[in-house]
Amino acid sequence: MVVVGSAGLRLHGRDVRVADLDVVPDPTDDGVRRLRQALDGLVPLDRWPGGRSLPPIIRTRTSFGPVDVLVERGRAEYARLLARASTIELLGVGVTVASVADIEALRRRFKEPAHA
Amino acid sequence: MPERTGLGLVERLVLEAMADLDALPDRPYIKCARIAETVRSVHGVHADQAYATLCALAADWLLSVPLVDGHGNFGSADWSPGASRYTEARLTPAGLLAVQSARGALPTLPFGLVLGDMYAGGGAPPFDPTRVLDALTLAIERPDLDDRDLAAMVGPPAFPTGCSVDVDVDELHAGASTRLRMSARVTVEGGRLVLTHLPLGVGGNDILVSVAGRSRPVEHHPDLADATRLPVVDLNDESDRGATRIVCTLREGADVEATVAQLLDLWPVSAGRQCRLDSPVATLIRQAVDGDSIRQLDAVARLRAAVESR
Repeated sequence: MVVVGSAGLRLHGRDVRVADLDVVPDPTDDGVRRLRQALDGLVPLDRWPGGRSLPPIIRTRTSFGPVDVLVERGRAEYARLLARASTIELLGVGVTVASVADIEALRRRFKEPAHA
Repeated sequence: MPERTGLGLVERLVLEAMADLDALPDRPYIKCARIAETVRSVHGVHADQAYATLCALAADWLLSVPLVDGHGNFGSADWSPGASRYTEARLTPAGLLAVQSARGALPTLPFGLVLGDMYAGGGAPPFDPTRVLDALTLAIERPDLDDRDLAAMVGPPAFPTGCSVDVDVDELHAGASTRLRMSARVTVEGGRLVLTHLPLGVGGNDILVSVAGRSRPVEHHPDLADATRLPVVDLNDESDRGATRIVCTLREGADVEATVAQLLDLWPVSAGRQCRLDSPVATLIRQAVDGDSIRQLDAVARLRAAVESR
């Protein structure tokens, strides 16, 4: 998965307020399995959605705060985001973070700019 | 219906429908399905939305002054209410005052400021009802009073759960958008940590799942998990109908102070939200001042009595 949104900007060193974690998942079955494994580590308070296909966005609450899984973005542009992403070390774990340009572009398309 | 209470449109429609159906404080309860259907048929609001709003107006864990008196299973912070065909409701004395104020039978009353709209997912926090009414009384009696004094009378946001609130009160009072953080109260009792007064809308079950989940070892990135793991070896829910009380027993030798800090970092033991008032708080108080001061002071006294009777 690729981290986007304000958390992504924060990992790139921007001084922005982080209210939740937005991730774009690898849309393959294996990618979704690994995403669920990672979410289990955050202690989710909501059930994973049932049904054959996932909704466009899964909003879940965890013990670390809200996490938004941008499923539709993953289907549409995971490969492109991953190609331009970088790995940032956080407490000994490598986190894949989309490029600043991609995060800003996503925010322009779907959200207001980040608040400093 | 002109806006005189600061309540949302659907809230007002539900209260109006209840008054029209004679669901008054001293009258028998009415089936909620009938109230929701009346709101749907007269105003075109979806019956499910009307019922959800009615349930929120009855929830004393969401509102410091419930406007609806519910009979039956109206849920809790953890559980959804029963279906509308199984529940009944009538207005509380405060709810009746809201209807009368909205209809112009009584002067303006500041329900919007007392209740906020965070209970319905909005950005306006609630304030202490007594302090709001004190500020309104003062604004009626002394129209020349300084805005800062009026704002100081209103004070910081006050949630019905009694949770701790951390917010830039001056920014909020000025009508600016600002970050508000609600936290449960954590006390130490004989080496155990006790969580009470949860943030608005947070149920004890969420806290139990969150604390239990963060207290057990995990396989994925064990080093990272250990760094954030809570030294809690036992967890008890000692809540009763009136109050939430979750007791955490710590591992022997655990650093109590550090664990309190860790707990307060845990979501949703602490939960942040962006908040904003429609106007500066002193303006909202002054907007609530009606022309006839004697009638309005009487209405304020009636609302105060309804608040204090809870």
